[in-house]
Amino acid sequence: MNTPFESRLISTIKAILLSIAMTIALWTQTSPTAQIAAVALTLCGAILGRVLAAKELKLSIAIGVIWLGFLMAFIGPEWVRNTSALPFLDARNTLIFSDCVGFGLLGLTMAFGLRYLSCRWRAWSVFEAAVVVGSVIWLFRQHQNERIDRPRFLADWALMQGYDPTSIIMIIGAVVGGVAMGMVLYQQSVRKLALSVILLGALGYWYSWDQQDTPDFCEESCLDQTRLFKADCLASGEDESTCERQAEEKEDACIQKCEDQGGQGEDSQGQGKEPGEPGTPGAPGSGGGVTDQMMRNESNSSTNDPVAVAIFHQDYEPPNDILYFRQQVLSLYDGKRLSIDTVNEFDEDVIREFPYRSSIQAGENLSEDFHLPIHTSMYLMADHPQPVALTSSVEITPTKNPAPHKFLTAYDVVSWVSATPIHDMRLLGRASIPSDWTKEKADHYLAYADDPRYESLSNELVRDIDPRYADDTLVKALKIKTYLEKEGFYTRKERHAGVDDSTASFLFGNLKGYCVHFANAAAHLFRSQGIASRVAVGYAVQGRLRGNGSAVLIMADRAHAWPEIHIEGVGWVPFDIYPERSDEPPGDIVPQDLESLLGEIARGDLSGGRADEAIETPFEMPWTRIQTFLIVLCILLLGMAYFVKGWRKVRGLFGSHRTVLTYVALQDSLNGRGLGRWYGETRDQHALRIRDIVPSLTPLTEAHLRRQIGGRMEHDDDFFALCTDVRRELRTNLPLWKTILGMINPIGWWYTK
Amino acid sequence: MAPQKIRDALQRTREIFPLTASGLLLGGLLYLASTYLGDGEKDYIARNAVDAMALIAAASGMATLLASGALFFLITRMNSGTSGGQWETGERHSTGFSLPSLAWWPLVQMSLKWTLPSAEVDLVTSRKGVEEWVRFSQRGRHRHIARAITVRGLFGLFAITLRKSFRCDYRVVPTRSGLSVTPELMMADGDGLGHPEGEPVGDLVETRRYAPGDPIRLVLWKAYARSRRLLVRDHESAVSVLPSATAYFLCGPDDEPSATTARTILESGVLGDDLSFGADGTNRVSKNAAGALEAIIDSVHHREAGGRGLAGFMDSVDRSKLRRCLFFVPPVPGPWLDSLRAVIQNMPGSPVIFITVQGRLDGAKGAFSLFERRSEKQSHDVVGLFQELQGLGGTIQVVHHDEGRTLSVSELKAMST
Repeated sequence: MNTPFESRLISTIKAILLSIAMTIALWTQTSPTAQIAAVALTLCGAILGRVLAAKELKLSIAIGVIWLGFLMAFIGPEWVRNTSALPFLDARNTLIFSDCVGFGLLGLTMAFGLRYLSCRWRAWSVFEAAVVVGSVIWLFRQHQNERIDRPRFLADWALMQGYDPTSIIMIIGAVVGGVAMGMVLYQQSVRKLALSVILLGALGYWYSWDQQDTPDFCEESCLDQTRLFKADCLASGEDESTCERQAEEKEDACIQKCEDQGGQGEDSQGQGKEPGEPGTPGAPGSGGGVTDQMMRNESNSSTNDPVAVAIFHQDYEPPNDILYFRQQVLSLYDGKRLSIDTVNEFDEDVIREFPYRSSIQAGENLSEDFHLPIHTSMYLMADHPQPVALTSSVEITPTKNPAPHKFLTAYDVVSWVSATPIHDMRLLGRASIPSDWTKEKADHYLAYADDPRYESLSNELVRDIDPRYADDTLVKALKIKTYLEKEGFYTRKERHAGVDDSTASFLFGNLKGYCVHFANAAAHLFRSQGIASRVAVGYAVQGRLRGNGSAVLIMADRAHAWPEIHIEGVGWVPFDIYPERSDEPPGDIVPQDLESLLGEIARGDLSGGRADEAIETPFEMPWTRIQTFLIVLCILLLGMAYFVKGWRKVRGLFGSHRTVLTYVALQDSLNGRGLGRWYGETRDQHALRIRDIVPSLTPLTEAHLRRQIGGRMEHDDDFFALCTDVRRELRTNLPLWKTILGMINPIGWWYTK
Repeated sequence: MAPQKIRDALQRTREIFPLTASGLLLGGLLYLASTYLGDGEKDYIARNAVDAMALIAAASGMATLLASGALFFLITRMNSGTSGGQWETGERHSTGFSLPSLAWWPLVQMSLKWTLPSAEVDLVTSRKGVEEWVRFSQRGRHRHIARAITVRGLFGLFAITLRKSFRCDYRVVPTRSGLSVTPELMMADGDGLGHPEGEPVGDLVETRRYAPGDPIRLVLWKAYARSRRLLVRDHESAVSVLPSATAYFLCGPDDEPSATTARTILESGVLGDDLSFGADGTNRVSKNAAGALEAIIDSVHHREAGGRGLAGFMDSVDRSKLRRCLFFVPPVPGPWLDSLRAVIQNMPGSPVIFITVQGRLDGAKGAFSLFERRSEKQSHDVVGLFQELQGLGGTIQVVHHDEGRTLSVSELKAMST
């Protein structure tokens, strides 16, 4: 009979862990009775699996039993619910009993199968670990996609205490990972296991400490800015080495500024969170921004993480019930498509940098006749290359980040939002390009693909405009917009990928595409008619999909691209296309609990409105205190060890058992120098073994044994003389480093038997 | 052979490739969990569990690499540490070889095995480190010990095996067993049956088997009632003492118990002083127990061609001695069976054939045995072999290696089922 490779202790631990995993998995799934039955049967299955593997049960039989068990687990509950053979059970008890049968058999079979297979093939232990982790993932699955208000049993409690639920979940995850590794343990001695656990604990502590030292958001932004600066510099025709040097200077200055700011308390500037850090809401770039990213978000409807929270400081109802949060604009036609104007020559109305100390203002003023100033505060939860703000932002000011563990950055925004709908008569009769624009600027906003089809199509579209408005910017734009809305088909399935000009492919092809295609097509057609236009990228939040509070939660799936046109005397106006036909379902309603919760956190209540009184100071693990405590503890233990060592050394100088105590002190010295007794070795054998180094130990040991067992006893002075000889021999016959090590060694006495 | 070389190369590669099957599987699962749950669904449990597990696995892998590096450094500077000599199969011996125990080296563990020759190795912890104790499963004569030292991570995710061959002259002899069986050999001429351990003269029984023409009044009816053999009282005829025997050791798979039995019987002296012993692979006739033992040891390399030397041996032995012939045969049929069949047909007397088996005697007693995996040794059809040998006309004695006694047919059947 082959013995399974696991010891009984490890097998027992694994059986218990599997039972706990079953408990966790069923925590919210069924009644307590069924849970107890399932857990008990899981434990039985685990024990049975190990025992039968030890008894060399045939694999074919085991596989058959496992299949049968799973089959019964699915059929059994159904049979219990439908049978008339159990008349003594009422409806409620029938359901409970069917759960007992179903979950019990499931647990029994799963535990039996896993334990049997992992006892025969070690690799199966990995699946046992997966079951342990999987059960916890299942229990806490509601928190996925940044739902920090879920699961309620944890989130509500944590928030009321002022803890960050995400941090708690992260700690749980790490602990579960560590425990799950126990499932792949090999037969092991307790000493080595303890040693390994201590080492891994120290490693984990170092790792978590090290994670806190990663570059912060401010520094990351500096790097981005430097890259942009270098690109601008090179584009302006400067020498590469000059650009390199200037970029480095700029980066150094920026990082220095970040460090200064950090020293003053980076939270006050709202930059206390590292992008990409585990637990950071949203992976880098998840907020979209550039077209490709936007397309990715558009094509992936499952991306539904919160990316930002906007707090409105005054009431505002957008004219078409859509809030546009703009991040970037694509205005430069680079020969293939519209892209970001990296030279930063135009688009002065767009704020491109995050504010760090002082406010940043847009370079172009908008008309007060057509716009309203709206004050908002933005709290970003995902990394964005440029600040997201309600369009059109004219001033961005840094503000306090109330929850650095939750928000990457925070800033106040003043936006001049459109106060008039696009069909307002006051917008009629205005040119697109103001007279004060330079030719370069006009050309910049009118450049489009060198393809006559654009102009041909747009001419065809505006041909039947009332002659009174034939040259009117707004009417022409509306005509184009109407055409795209009527003829276009909104779908995420058509990507127009792999072609040189995806806009042409969309516009002159099947007219099927998503917002990026519509926005680019519209911009091209506008430009072909002499209307200055560009594509804005950001988020469009529909009023009907959100709650009624002043907080607006922006989800990643709200990423959007829309065209903007310029009207003289008005400024840039969002001119979004709303296709009439679509195969996309309506967007998900924003989780209002989460919106409200994040709104409260953004306002400074870290309990998210759960606690009776607002909690403004987040709970933080007292790592420094723990560290200090551990250091003090180590010092105390070390001190105690040295004290005991010293005491054992000197106690032979006085007292009634001087000879014995002196002999013991000598044994301590030998142990400290690595010359102690081996396990199972007698004192005689020990003395004989090291007689080359300490020849006097043999007569001393004999004298000691005679004193202990009985026999002729030397005079005490002779005994102490032998002790002195031993000490002398130790000093002379051992290398100095061993003597020094023996003196330093605080626990040599521990091994004296 | 090319496939064998490829297999060996793959084996060597696998041994130095640090990730085990468990490690690869865990790595794959961690990647999937990280990609689809950690990043895809923003699941912090999955993300941090993966981080923790990856960190532990990485620490374990690093410790394994460092420990194996240190051991490799040490082993390349080691000599055998094993003094040569003689060891016995089935017994546990200390070889004197020791290694650092790695007891204070966290996250790793060490194991040692012999790849050549095959032996079961135990590592016993002592203050010097770990000492090597071995138990040999087969006899042989060797000049090297090939050791494979495996440093394995605590969680079994990483393992590196280092091989080194040490020069060491030694031989492994079959051990003596506690056999309480004697061969049913006729140690005297005529029909009389002498006790094999008795004195050759004076212990004679004055009876012989009934032969056609014998007067019916001479039949020993009481003896017939006891033994179902027709014996007749014989007159005081002259009896020639035959204190000698011929024995041959046939090799084959699983012949180690048979070798143990052969050694025990040879050294017990029951085969007499005038011994003629042969074994497969040795073309000489051994005349004493010591020479016979050497022949048995050397025969280990001829298992594939068991029985090849039998005919030659029989030709070289005085034919008069073949009336008291003993064969030690393996419990597994093989080429030796044909050789034995051919020889027995031409033998003047009826030989005694010893089959030595080992395994559980209570194999078929529990109902659970129907569902058990059966080891290769137990799966041999010993009963079939027994019946086949019986058909050849010999006296078959099936001996159990561990029990040291003859098995009845029913016990043999129970063992085989």
